[in-house]
Amino acid sequence: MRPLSLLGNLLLLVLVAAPASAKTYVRWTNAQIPPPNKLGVRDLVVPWTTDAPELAQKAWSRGYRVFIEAERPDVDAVEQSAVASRLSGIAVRVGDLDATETQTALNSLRHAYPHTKFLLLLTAGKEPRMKGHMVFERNGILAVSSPTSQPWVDSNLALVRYARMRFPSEPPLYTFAWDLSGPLDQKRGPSAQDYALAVCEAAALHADLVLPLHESLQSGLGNNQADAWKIWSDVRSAMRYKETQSEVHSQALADVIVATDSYAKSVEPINLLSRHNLPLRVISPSDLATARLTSAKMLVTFSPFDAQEAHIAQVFAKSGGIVVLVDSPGSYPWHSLTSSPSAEHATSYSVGKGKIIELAEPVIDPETFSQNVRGLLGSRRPGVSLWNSLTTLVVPYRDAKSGGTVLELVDYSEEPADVQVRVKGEFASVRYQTPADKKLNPLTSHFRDGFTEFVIPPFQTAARVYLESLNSE
Amino acid sequence: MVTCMRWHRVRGLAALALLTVWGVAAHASPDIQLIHRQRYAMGTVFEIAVYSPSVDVDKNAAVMERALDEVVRLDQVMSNYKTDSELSHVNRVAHDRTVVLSPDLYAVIEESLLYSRLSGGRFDITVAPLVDAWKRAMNGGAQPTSSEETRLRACVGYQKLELIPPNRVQFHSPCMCLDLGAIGKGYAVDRVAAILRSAGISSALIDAGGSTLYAIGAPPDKPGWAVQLRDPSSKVDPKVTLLDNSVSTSEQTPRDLLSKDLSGHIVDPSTGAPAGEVSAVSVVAPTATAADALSTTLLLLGPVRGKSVAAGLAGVSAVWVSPQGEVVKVSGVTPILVKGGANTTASAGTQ
Repeated sequence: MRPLSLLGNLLLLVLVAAPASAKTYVRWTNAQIPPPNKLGVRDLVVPWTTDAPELAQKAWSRGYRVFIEAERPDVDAVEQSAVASRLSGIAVRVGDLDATETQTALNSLRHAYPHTKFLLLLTAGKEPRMKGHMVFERNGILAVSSPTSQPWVDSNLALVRYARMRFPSEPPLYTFAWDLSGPLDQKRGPSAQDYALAVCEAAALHADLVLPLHESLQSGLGNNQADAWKIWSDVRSAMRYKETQSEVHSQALADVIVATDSYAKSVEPINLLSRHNLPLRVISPSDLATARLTSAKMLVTFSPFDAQEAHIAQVFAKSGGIVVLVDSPGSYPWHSLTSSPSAEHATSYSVGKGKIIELAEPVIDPETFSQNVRGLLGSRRPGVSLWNSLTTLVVPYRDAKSGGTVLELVDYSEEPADVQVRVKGEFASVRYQTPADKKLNPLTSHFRDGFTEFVIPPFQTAARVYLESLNSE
Repeated sequence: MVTCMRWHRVRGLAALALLTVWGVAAHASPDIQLIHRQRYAMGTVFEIAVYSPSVDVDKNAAVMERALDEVVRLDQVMSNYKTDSELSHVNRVAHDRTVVLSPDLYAVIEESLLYSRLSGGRFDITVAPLVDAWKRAMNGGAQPTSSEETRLRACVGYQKLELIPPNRVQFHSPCMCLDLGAIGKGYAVDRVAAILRSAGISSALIDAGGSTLYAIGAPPDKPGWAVQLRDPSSKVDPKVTLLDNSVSTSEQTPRDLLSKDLSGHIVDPSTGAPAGEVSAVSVVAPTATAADALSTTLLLLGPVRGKSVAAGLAGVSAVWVSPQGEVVKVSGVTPILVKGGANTTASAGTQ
């Protein structure tokens, strides 16, 4: 792709996508609030309850800015309360990403209360973590013997990607609830590592986060307990790392475009595609015309095409792209071509230099589906690949300002490990930083077969790699 | 919504099928707590759940962490992904000379050879060159050609692997490479069990990636740890209760959803290609090392030949479940329960 047209494409994408602000908001519910210069944050989010006004007053007396977190039906009550005039904003909780009236409702609130800053707070987030197979129930544990031994990772990448598509004018902001199933976890709360992972994941996703603090941590901080401040020191380090992200001019790179208008139908496949580090972008099927597919290698859709969308898909396939339709039956122009059954429930059509595959059923096994997508990309090697790192997600961005590439890596395993990386292209330099060492350290790289390869030394939780463009000024 | 629900149902049913049928439960008494620890190692998540007296929770949590440290150490011994592991070093140099092995590595290789002999070579830790070629194919590379397969098969063969007591090994093939993926996790699970037992823990479940589990004792007031087994048919609901023994499950990687390419991570040394057996096999054995190795072995042997092998082993039970719900069982001391389905059963010959 010619650099100038790429830059043009990226700038257009930047203009339409609302950037995140690299913020971590802290949700606070405890009556004891430490001073902001010690906590290191100025913004607290207070859930709207009967105690919220009193807590807000305490926070203000300490010098904090306060946001109220509320469900849409409670916003009027918040606006009519005694604390409304001093609030820095209201974070409106949204659980259902497919609800059609969400943006309209938010716009109505902004019209009704023009002096209030409203944030869209997605509550469908998950605690980011690597999960085992044991499930803890009230009466014991459940264990299943299964041949699938790859670690399961709960991440919020699918949520953020979908939210960017669904609410393009809203900075992505999400929260989650800690899942503390064992008695030790319930007693001790999340570890410093758990908090750091949550913050670093949001950093990698270029999203804002409302970080829930366990009551034990809040109490410890409020009562000036050393153990609590030790945990908080690690959390602050992760927050400072997040604040250094160059979010404003970055745009996610994508080899795979996922077209969907249903979060429920596509979240697990998107999650697993991300687990396989396939750089992807989520779009609405209605945006296919403007999606600029030329830089992508594959289009996966979970929604049937209309006539125009089918034409676009066919043109994409003719030029060498792969199109996969998942449970999206229809009467399509390529049906006039010769088809061949490509798998038990799939039919393949050779279209020009590419192909179109129709999978006749929903994705029941997202792991296998993702492996198959990766296999289909085959010789069209992904723009970014990781080796020997089953628990690391990588999200690549193009810095529109410098033309360079930024890789945000998150590791969910708690074990420091080195990661081998291969990136398409040749670069003037490769440097990296981590939450533990924020200065940019050089990496030795090798250029081979059109790709730059390097190894990031063992890091814990997160790393950010800057690849300087050969053409940068 | 349907897709999501179906996916969650497949996974959720597996998870929710209970152990609590027998009521694995409870820390019925406030004096007993259930504690859980996990660690990523060997490419998967190792988990330990322990029923602990409340007064010993912190002490036992520390023992569990120590046990997981041991798994990380063994990964550094047995991984063929880590270039600086002991196994990777052996794979580089043992063609030219004998190499001294650590006790753990020697023990695992020695036990592997036992299963190779038992299975007539179907279980074979020297199969790595073939596995690597098929892994590249699964990741989008070209499938090995028949001549390439022939060349790679010349690198494979447990008979070309010589263990020299008490602690050395030599390869008798210039391209031999060992892969302990079919037995290493089981060995690590057994080491974890030993550490927990030596610290006085008497009720624990150890889980390596969901594929190999070992039970120490039983939960409070229960006869054992009940485990739901893999059921590709979703019809027969196989279960087993473990008590100081282990279960391990093997199943070939599912076929492609989108293309006809042959796929699968379990390679049959006798054919050089991914094994075609589509059943899931679960094996109960006295140790996790045995269960782990036998589950791959019996998958490769298939139910007809596998039945006779398993029936001759003490303390071993096994079940094959096909996607259609056909069941073949070998009933040892520890019964495996299934419902419905077409069953054939063989009994283990000896105690």
